[in-house]
Amino acid sequence: MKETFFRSMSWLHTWAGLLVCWLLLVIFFAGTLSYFRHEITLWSKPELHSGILQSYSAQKVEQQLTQGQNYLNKQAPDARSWYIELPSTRKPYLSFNWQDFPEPGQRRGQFNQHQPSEDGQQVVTNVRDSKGGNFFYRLHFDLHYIPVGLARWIVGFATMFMLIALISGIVIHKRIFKDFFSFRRGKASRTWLDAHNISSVIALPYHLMITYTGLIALMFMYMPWGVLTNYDGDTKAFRQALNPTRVQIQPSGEPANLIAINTLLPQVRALWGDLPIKQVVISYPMDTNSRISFYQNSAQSVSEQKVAAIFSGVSGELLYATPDEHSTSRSTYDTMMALHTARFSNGLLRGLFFLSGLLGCAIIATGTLLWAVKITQKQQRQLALGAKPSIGLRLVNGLNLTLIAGLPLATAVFFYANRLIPSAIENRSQWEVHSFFITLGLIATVALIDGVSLKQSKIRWQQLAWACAALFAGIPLLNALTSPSNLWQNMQTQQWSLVGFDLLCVLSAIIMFMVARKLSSSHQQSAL
Amino acid sequence: MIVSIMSVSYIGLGLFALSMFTHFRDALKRTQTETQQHLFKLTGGLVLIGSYAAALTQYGGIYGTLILMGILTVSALLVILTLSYRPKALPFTMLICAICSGGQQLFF
Repeated sequence: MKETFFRSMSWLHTWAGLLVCWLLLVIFFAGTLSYFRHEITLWSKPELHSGILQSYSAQKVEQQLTQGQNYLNKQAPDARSWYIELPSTRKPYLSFNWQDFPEPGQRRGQFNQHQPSEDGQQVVTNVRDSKGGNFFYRLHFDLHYIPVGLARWIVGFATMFMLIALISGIVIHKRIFKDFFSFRRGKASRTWLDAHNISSVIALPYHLMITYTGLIALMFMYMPWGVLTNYDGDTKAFRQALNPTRVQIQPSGEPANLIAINTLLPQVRALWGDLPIKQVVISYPMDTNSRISFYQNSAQSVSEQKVAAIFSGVSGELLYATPDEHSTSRSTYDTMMALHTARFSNGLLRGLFFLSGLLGCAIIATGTLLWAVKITQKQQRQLALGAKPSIGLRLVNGLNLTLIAGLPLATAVFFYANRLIPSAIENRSQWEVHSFFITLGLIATVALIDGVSLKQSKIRWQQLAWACAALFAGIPLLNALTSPSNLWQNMQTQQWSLVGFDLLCVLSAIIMFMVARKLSSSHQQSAL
Repeated sequence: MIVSIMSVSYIGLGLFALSMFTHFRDALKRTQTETQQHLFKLTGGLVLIGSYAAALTQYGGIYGTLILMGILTVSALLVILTLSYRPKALPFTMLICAICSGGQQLFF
């Protein structure tokens, strides 16, 4: 009975993991990069790197709000909404944005962003069209080129398989404590199994948390029946009850003057004290039904709950303030979401989350590589007699090459595209994204040709590792040549997001260089 | 403080590793007694509790727990790499960690 159970779990672990492993790798990889979503976005907009970056200052808020209101009043009096985004640690710049009313046939109006300089004398209006880190954030759960709804279902299924693989993995790992520190090098499948076990065990709480909360994030989509029953099928009413700040008001159509936004600051400070403000949103600015919503920068609070204070834009009357207390279920959901997104974390904790995410990628990559090694071992006798590798083995090798070696390379190409595609080109941000997938497509084509012509070898891995190392090593230089500041200047001005980006690219280049060297030496040894 | 917590976590996990037969033999080139095995395990556990207490004191309940989880992951990875590439260096790296931890307590 015990042995049958163990075998069943082992089968479940293998197939639950393998069926979706390459998709899971994309999801984990994109999610891991999303921890630095705003930092990547900042790097992707070099127009903001000089004279714009500033830190939050409570003393400057009043002046910044006045400046924002005057600017938006002049630039976009007929806009649907205005947004004044105040500087924060992760988005260290002031931004005056507005959204137009949608044109016929459009779901949403055009979104415009202008950033004033630190001294307030100039405004940057020509920031390049780039998705930056938002591409990886969306790729994580919306994938790309397929409808969002379908993508989220696919991601949900993959996440469920991941959870099953994790739990069955714990059950079948008999020596979870005895082998906790064991990494036996140079022993073919044993080494890959050790790497697979280590990457999963040392960050096991993280892997369980991120997978489970990933499912919870979209639980109302996967299991809507409770909501549908309680709200008579009206999911919009449920969302409004869940988040009162999202209640859509309608404009009255009667014009009215907007009050000075800075006059509301004493009321906001009475509610929140000296806690920083993240954003001020003005809906229907020149209408009798206008609303002014202040959003708090909740910094290190482990919750996804948006803390808001909403005022009438005409009278300045407080209409809504987020209550301090929430129901237990609401708090549980918010905490789980916060743990998944890690928006609350400071630089150190974010780095630790990032490392754990990389270990998640390592679990999947080592699992698929282990599988390929095992299939090769099974076919070794036939291969030695001159038989062709099976189609399954060639497919696994090809997909491994495309995604394990391809994802970092495609990411590097994405960053190069960000700087090299001309600003004036139409659909510029889409072409950046296309460059990512074109790279993956090219590697897949090479892998396919290698598979068909029976030429799959370590040399291809080696070539891709060298290419990756070279591209990542060149990124700080690319930044220096295509932005107003370089690594050294960013260090001097203490722009740690930009410094961290360049240094992480250098670190990636070093790691890929070591991988390429290792592959070269092992290839030479096997050739001898 | 973070260096201190990480150093203490490394020491705690290093002691746990030394309580295991294979790693003890690889690191110290001799076999351990049963008493030593229990002693390493007990000390390792106490040191890890100490690092958790330090994280809680410094960063608070939720934040401290999350930071410690991450730090334990990094420390475990470092202990594994030490044992895999330079097993004999483990006692020395633990000693360096003890000095780093003490140094940070004294000077910062």
